[in-house]
Amino acid sequence: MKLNITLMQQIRRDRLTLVSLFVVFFWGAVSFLPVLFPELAYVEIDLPKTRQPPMVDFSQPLGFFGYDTVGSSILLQIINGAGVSLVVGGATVLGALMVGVPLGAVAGYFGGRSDALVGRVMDVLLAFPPLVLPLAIAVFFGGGLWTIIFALCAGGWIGSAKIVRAQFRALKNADFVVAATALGATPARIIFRHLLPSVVSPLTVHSTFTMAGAILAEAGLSFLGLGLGDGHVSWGGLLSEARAYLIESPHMAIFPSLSMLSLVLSLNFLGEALRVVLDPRQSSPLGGG
Amino acid sequence: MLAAVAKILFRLFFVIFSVVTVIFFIQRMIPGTPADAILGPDAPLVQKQEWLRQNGFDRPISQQYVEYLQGIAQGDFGRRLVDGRPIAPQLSIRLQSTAKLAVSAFAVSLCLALILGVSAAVKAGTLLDKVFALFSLLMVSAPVFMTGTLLLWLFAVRWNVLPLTGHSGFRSLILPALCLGAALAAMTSRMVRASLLDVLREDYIRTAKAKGLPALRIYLSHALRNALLPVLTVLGLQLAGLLGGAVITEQVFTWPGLGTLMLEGVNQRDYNLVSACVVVLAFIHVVISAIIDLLQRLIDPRTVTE
Repeated sequence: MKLNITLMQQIRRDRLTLVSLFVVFFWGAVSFLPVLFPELAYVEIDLPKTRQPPMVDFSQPLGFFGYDTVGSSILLQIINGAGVSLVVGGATVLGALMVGVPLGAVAGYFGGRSDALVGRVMDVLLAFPPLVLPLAIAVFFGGGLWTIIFALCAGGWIGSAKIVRAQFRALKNADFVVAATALGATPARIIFRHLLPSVVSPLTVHSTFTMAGAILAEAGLSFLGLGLGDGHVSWGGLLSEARAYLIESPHMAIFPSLSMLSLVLSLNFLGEALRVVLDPRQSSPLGGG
Repeated sequence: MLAAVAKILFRLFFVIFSVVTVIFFIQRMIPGTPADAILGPDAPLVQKQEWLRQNGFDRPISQQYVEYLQGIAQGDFGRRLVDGRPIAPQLSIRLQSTAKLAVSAFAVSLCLALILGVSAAVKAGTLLDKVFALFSLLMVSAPVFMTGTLLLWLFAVRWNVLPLTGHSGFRSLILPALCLGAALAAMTSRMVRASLLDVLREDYIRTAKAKGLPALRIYLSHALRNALLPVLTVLGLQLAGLLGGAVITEQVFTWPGLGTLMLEGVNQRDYNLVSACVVVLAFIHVVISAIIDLLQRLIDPRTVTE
């Protein structure tokens, strides 16, 4: 078995990777629709259409997925919710990296007190069970897009910090680092030029899973009624609303569920594929051809 | 060993103290007073001030903080803001049902993870392995409220074999435990598989094969016991996480546990109740994690976690 393969080779030999990539790009493209066509960003309330089932009628494309409890088009809300999910996922990954990488780097490279300090902060944050920390933050600071992203970052940075810290600790006494130090390289130069490149691969894999997790967590918070609040359509919110009408109007649950499942599943598949490419020792049978 | 125990206990104390402190000050940082939340922002100012005085919010914050700490140290979590009932007795009742759900879900997860993980490792690379991998990725990607709702719809609505909601004995425990357990098993079964595959490459497995031992015996008694060591940590964290609140699952199945109690507090804007729940959930979470940490040192002295 060949160990090192490129992403292109992986895509060529594994159809699931290609499909996942396509699905993620699809939702990315969909999320730009309301930006390009501002009329799509306006979700109309139309009470006579309350909970109308899906109908394939090309004169009314908004009715393809049916309507919700106030007669708003499910299709339109899914289109608008795609952007929300991707923004929450993407911003959480960025925020987690921006906090986690520097803290992990300092803790791993310098060790000692800075390591202990970062470790204690992690201990306290890890004391909260999963979802309870973002939930508490969302409750105490009120909902809203940025609060939710902040709430998800608050615990999300720990994973990347741990990866960076472990790698830096393992490598800081490696020959090439000692050589660089002997040549007079500053800690900043060693960290940026010599150590940081070694964590790019594991962080890429980790970030893909973090994004999938963040999208799920946002949906969970929306489901509990602690979501983005007014003015934002979220897939989790749609599902939460649909629960009361599962029997009469299953379409309200089915289409948002499928949308979210396709995006999150694809992100997880991509994570697995990236792992095959970047970190072959950890690969799973789905990645193997 | 004694030093390690002392260190873990000290860390435990520090973490719990920090959590309580953070929660207390976050609660006081919320814009608006608790009176606004309970009486509504339009209530007359006099009434609000009277309410704040009655509930002790007019005293200096340092005094409130010390009393809060003292209360929690004695197991007193104050009163609900809405109706003034003491919180601690409710916490202990809810904790019992959360524990019941957690332990059952954990048992389900453990059985599923072992069965799926071992058979995937033994049949590595076959169709079965791929199907299990697909299943676990699907379960990881589907939010609990989605699978839970689906299960409820199938078993309680469509076929009407299990109760839809509530807390009516064993029958109402089946669906939430299954839903939560399957979600967790999705993760652990992958770890069992990976760990078992690693162990199967070891020399002593080859020796056992060379001796002519039956395959089943090699897998179960030689390989699995060693393979489970790294999985133990994850299992422990899962149990801690379960006891620390499967908030969404409890909400989907209207299970009267700590998670739903916390959400009650959220909906009533009762910050005392929410804080109490968060503190208790975090407390259980860290205590179980510490116990697992200790157990692991006992079982496998090679693992020295930092």
